[in-house]
Amino acid sequence: MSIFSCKDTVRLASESLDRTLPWTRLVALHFHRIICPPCGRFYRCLLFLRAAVRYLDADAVVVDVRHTGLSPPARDRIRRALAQSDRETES
Amino acid sequence: MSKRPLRAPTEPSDPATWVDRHGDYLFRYALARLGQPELAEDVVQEAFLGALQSRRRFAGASSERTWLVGILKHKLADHFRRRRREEPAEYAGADSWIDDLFDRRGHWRKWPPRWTNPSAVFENTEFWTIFSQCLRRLPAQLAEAFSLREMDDLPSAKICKVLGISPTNLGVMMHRARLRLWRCLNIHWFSDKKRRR
Repeated sequence: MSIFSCKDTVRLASESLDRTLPWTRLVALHFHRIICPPCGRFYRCLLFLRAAVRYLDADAVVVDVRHTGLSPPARDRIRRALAQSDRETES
Repeated sequence: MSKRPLRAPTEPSDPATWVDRHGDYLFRYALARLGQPELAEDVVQEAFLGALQSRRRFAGASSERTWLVGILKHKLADHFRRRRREEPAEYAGADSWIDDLFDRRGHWRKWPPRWTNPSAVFENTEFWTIFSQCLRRLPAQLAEAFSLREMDDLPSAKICKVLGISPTNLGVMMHRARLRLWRCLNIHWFSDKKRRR
């Protein structure tokens, strides 16, 4: 029998992603996850979230098909700002 | 076909070419975090101007793009810090729904929905549209802690220092941020049976 309820396990599962837990807690967490399918399922959701955030951060993923790059006016504006700032730095 | 990283140059290229070579990439990166195209364009402009100022400090240890993304991340962090200061700390008591997921004995009232494997959805633009919307719905304080931990991979102790909070407080914030994201995806993505294949 596990010493943690599902509610405790969910909180502990999140904590385990941020810091190293004492081994007794870690064992209890793993044990609970094995015997409790809903908590096992929730833990896989947490890992999914972590993988998704890292994937999003590793590349410039398109999140809006209408905006996949700078608009032409913004492109011109940024080019001009860069050129102007570059001239000011040189002089 | 395997992609090899471009050889890192020892100094950045001519700034006049930056917009064409990196502008769209930086824009998409910023848009995923900010959600508003005009705002993303402004932050990209700030990042380019910042890069111009610190051009001399480019060590060539990384590629030019990695260097520019690093500067963009700083500008985004500034933006979120400003947003956090402007936003009242309203989220504190607003997460009682988390307790309601469980009965009095601490058991799940309802099983959490089954999610697909990441590989099944990560190529899907629609998924990222929803996911980035869910990220942006996090209250500013939670979003900042979450992105420092999950995107910048900072150790918890460092985040506590940056945000001036206790480890316990950070634990609570991370837990709430994850559960909010989990709920948002449950509602807006995984509740549609077609997407759960």
